[in-house]
Amino acid sequence: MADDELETYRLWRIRKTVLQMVHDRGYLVAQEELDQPLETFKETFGDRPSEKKPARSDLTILVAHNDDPADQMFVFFPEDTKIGIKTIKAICQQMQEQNISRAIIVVQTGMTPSAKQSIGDMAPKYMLEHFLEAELMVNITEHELVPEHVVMTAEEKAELLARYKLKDSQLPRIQQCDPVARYFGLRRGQVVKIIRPSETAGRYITYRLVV
Amino acid sequence: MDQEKEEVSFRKKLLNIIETLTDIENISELEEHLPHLHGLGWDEVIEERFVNKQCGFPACSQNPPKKTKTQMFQIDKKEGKIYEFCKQRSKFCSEKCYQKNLFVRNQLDEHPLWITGMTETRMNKKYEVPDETFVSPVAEKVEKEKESIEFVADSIIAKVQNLKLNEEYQEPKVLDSDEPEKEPYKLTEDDKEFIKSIKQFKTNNFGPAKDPKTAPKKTSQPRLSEKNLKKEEEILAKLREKYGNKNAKQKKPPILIDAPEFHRKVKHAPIVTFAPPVNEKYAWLLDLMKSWITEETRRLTREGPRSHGGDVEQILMDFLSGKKIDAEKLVDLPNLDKYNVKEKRLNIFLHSMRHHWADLEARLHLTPTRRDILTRVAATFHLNAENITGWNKKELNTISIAMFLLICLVDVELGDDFFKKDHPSPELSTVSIDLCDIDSSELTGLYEAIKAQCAC
Repeated sequence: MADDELETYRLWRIRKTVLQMVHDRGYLVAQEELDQPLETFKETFGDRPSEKKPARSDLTILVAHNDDPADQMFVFFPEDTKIGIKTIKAICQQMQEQNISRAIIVVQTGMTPSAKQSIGDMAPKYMLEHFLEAELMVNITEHELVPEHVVMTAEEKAELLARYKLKDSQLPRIQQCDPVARYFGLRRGQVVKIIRPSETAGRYITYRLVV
Repeated sequence: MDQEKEEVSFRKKLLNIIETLTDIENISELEEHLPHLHGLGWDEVIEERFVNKQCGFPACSQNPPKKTKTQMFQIDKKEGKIYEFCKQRSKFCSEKCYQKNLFVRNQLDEHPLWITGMTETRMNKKYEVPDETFVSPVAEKVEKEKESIEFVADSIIAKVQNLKLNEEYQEPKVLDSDEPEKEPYKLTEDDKEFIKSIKQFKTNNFGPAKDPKTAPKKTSQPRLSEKNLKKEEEILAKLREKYGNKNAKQKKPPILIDAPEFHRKVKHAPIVTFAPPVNEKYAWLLDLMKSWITEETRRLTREGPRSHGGDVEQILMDFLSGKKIDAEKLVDLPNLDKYNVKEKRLNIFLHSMRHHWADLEARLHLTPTRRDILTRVAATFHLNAENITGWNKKELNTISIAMFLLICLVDVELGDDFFKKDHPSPELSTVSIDLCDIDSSELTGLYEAIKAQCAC
């Protein structure tokens, strides 16, 4: 019983973080869903994960982008504790069927190296990102030491470079595997605006190029 | 750039192979993929299959692996050792598959394809793929080991013992019958001792030896029927023909080489000649004294302590008597060995008997002026590594007494005090009995012996 409760709590937290993340990326998520308390989660999905109520596959989310309803994204919760190539293939097939190019995979314990490589190989056609469940237990952007990150559009980036007469390479950098960069699903070449509070200036703005 | 591209293509190839091997159903396909795989790639195949709930070994699809253990290592807390990575083993349906996996993995190249490239040796290497009849070399080895070990039952050991007794019993008979003309080999003392020790060893290791006289009933010989006896003899005759009459040769008495005699000196020591007064137990002492005493000591005893007044006096005397002085002898050349060995030995000798001599001096109430005489006498000795130290307390006391007797010979005044008319004074005899159980008669004998040594 206690295990079930803990597991339900975990799933609720994970789902909540995923929804927040998707929301922060500009996908359409209902406010109700974002604010969903644990009780409501239990009512809708069940509270006995050991009996597949809910099964992880029940949590699968499909969201559409605010600006472009055709730009949809899947969030998968595979049942397997460790994911191999086959699971990735299955996911890809599903995406292909529904003509969706982006997906987030929430894995329980990890992936095989070949699975990771196959994700990389499919990169331009199918954009797959993977997160561990443990990583999604909290929303890192809500941490007080994490400053506000704003992802800039291509136009904003061009304007910035023109304003300061810069080239791409002259900007400070941020790694693609940086936790915040992963949270926002940043791609190489994108620029992120970081706004952090400053004692002297009130707030300090810096820009980082994703490498 | 080309290299990078090549690496990417090789990686893709590896990924494809891993994918195909994950789904492979025919083991014959495995062989063609092996050259492209490396050790870690093989591990990935196993991992992939395991994740897909298949047995880790490719083409073994029928048996799903057992439920995995959560533990990764077996830890022996007592010995502080960590054993095998259990997870790897649990990825296989059976031990056989695991051994197959090891068999294949050991053949694979250590390095990935993008490091070595498609070299000829790698591509042309013949890989053995284990089939259904595969028996792992490890398992085979274990079986062989099991076969090679035999457990000897106690009953067999008992039989061996009987056999030995039989030999013992039969030997003398054969000897007598075969070579009646030859002189029977007489057992020497050494042989008897040797036989005794062997018998003892046997009783210690195989229980008490049975008496050969009682043994004949148990020997195999009486049990044999006449036919068997004949057969046995025939076989023996054949064997003798084949290997020559080795037995006869062996029956010859072995050539004995006399062991070098120890303590030859002891046997020929002067003590034998002075047998009546001196007990044989002081033979070692006299032997020791004999090794010490040199011509110089004898001169000292002849001339007394005062006549020989050191080198300077000697030179003066020689000069006065008109002798030629050999300069080389007189000049004390520096010792190359850094230490004066003679002086060193003298010191060791004096040091070893220091306490016992002091004790004796105290008991005899010697005046301090006479004390240095020991050093002077000892300085004339021929000291070597064997005769300067290593005695026990009683021996040291005896040596002290003997030294005192020698000094009595050298110093006439002292001799008069303690050895008037060749008889020890009561004071000396009480002290000697006290120290080392030498009574006055023995003391006299010892005195005479030492005197004789100094005289010759």
